[in-house]
Amino acid sequence: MDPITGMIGIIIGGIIVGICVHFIPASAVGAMSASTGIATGPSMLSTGCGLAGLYAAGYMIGESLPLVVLSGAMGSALMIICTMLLANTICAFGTGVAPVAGSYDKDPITGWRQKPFMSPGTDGHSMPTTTALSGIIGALLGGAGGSLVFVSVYEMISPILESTTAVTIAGMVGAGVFLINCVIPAYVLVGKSEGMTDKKMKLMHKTFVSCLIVSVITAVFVYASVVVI
Amino acid sequence: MTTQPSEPPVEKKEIPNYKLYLLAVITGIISYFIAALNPNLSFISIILIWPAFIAAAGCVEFLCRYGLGTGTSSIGYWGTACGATVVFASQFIETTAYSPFLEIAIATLLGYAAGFCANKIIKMKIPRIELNSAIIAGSTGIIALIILEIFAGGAGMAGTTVYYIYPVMYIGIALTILHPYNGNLGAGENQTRTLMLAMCEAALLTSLFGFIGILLPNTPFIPALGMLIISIIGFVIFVSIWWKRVKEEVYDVVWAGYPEGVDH
Repeated sequence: MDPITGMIGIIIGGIIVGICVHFIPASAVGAMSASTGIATGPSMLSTGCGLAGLYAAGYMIGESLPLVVLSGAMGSALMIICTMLLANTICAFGTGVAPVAGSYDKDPITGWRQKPFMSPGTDGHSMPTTTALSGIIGALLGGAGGSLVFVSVYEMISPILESTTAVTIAGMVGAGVFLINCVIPAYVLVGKSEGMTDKKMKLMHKTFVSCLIVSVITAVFVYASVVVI
Repeated sequence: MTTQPSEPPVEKKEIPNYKLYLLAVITGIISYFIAALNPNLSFISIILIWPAFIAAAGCVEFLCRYGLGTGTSSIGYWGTACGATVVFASQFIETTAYSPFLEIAIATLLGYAAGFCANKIIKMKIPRIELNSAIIAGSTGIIALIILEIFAGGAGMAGTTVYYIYPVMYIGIALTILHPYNGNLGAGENQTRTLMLAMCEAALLTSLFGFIGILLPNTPFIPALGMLIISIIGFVIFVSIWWKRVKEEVYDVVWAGYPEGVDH
């Protein structure tokens, strides 16, 4: 991969990371089963997925680009599937509430009614089918975006550094780009999102532009560090 | 006999964060050149990076007053991501001729751009978020750069071999700048006390890095030992000052329990 392509890869990866956060169902009040989503901020959950994805991508480094990106996406998705499964289990058998969403009356996939099972005074609890699917899509995107950044940085620096060093540094830079881009959407989501059925999905263009600007600066600096300076 | 009404306590004026940052940049640059020119004087460099922790923690405290759309942890990690990522990426630069100016400038610019996007594009309407996120990013960049410079024994970022401690550095710096706000009383908290807790945590973190530096085989022993000793001394001093600040606004604790002679 030539450095220009690597720079473009960092920019595209950064934007995908920003977009993925919109799909992740998370809410801090989910800890009290007062809202749909996993009980933490969308940014922190996305970070967890993304870092799991980077680990998975790291095992495939040296293979072709699609394989590494796919590995990262699968690692990230696996992480969120496990998290959602356990969160739903705890809510169902520990708290005693059914997985329901506040943003739709009937689940678009299963057609199951939501409102009759919602506890009074809450916006839903845990993750029903569509919300869970949204989380998986978000994690796939996040893992793929993070892995793309990771591979791009790795390919740029591997000619000048030995392989193990390059993997470590590319991983840290990839994690840094991931963190920068996944916190920006938190300002759009205001700490709570139900995933792709949430009304805040309409604000995705703001995330897109913000992540584009920030990713361009980061990518240009990495490119300049490796090639120009 | 009449009693004079006691005068209301004078509200202390807060130190603007940009002044703290200017101090952090000046001391940071001096600190970098001390570590680069004579690694054995790195204990002085460590003292000079503590203002960067204060500037960053002050900005987290300022931004969190406005009820961010994200949590305190996110703003801390975000700022650290901007600063530390720039420093880690600067390892690819073959010459150290531009250090530390290039890293500080780019980190500050990246922080400013991220804050600008949050305010102008996403329309968060948080006063001075651009300036404060720039300060957090710049400060964390200064901290990461100088700690790595000390570990490199004055060889510059290009000569650092301790890339495997980057995750520890990343998490440690982020926690140190984001925790003082939550570690005190949160919103409306006394700025001086928050910043003093930041000093305590900064000294604790640098003592941890000193300890790590002693244990690692490829880091210079004397600078790491100096870092550890000066940080422990600083930690003891800052904790005692912070503890006094905590007690200033604490109510008396009075005995209201069981009568004497009753088992309890």
